[in-house]
Amino acid sequence: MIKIGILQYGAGNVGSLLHSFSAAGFPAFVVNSSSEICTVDLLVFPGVGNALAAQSHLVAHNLLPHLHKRHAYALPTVGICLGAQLFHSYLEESNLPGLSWLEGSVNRLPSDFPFNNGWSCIDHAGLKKHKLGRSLTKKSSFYFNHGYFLNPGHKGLILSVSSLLQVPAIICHDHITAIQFHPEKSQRNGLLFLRNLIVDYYGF
Amino acid sequence: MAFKRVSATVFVQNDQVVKSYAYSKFYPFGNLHTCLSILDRWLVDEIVILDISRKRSISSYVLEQISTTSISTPLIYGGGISCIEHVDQLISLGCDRIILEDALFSNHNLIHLAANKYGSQAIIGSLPFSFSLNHPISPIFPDYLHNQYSNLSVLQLLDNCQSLPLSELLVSDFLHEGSFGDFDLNIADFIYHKSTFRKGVLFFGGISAPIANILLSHSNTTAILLGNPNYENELCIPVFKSLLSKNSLIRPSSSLPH
Repeated sequence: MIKIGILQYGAGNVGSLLHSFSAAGFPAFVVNSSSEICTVDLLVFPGVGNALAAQSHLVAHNLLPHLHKRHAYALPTVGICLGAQLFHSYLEESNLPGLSWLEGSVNRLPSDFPFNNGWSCIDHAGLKKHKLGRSLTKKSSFYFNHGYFLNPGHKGLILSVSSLLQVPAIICHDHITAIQFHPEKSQRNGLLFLRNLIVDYYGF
Repeated sequence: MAFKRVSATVFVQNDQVVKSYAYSKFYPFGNLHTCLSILDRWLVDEIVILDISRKRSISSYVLEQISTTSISTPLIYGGGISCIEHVDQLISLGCDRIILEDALFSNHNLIHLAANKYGSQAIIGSLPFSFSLNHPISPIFPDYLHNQYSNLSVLQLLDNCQSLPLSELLVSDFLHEGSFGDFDLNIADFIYHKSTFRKGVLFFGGISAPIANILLSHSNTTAILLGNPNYENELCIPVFKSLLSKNSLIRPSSSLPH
């Protein structure tokens, strides 16, 4: 049985993720201690929060050395919304460097659409190409809730974009997956996506 | 920019789900756990819980019901939030966003604290206001704590909301809440043409499909909230969506009637 850990770093949403992974058939648990970071098969960074508050928490709780060690071992790691944003080199919201596991920045959405709150379809061809599209269709929509967007240095890493706003929805690079939408709040489509991610993409 | 939402609103008063009519008549309608579970199963776009008990605290009953009801539908909560610890509790239990009303008038510090901790995408302001026969030009809004209309200027409050770290504003036509089709379109006109508020707006209070069509035609209208009709009919929102002329802007329903 795959061991999935949800990282507790003060960025909310942990309960919803526990429920969603369980409902998708993969029970998860909360990673409260730094010693567990390298022991789980799949580590998930949840995310409802402000970048500066989240980054301060990672520093204050001495999680960074353990997280970088996990990254050096190339262990599968997934970030959701703010969690995904932390993977990048620079975050405009905090004006600080991120974990730098993905080259690129996280920037404020344009002033004419300062927030992306609600449901959007995502580019299905990208999902299918990367084995994430099983049981999903072009009309499958997912829940977004963000004011900053992923802006990777290598556009080739963008696996799928949101259909309406055309911002990156999923970025994959080796063992790292950054997801801008919230699969845990995307009803049945979100559960299917989580299953596809665990089984078809990561091969657990 | 995402699909515009048609959201289900659940009123809670003194630890009971209620149907509300103009925020003055209330009829008990069961428990929160059941309502959340059903709306989640019906795949509504979003669930908005509004606790209208007029207390400056969050009911432990509501917190317990949210925490024990595992749903995968976006969840917004408003009512009684008066300190950052309340926000912490709600977000940790699975609320995606919170609604602040009193804080718009009396506690901007709480809005800034919440936005600094959870991001302004998670913060929605709430401003109930209406026009009445006695006040056809300048809208009124209720001061529930003192059981009277407030003396504050709605226009000034709207302008203030533009500069606060809010992502959207919930605007209720409180005089027509609970009706079906009596929403006053002058409210939208006031926001969009007389104020400087230019963020997303969620409208609530007696909205029928024809009215929703007009409201949704404005680019800043991000959601329509439905209240009482949701409680009784699984197809309420799918049917409502099917009646919208601009329904390409709306997330397709999974269960439209044949």
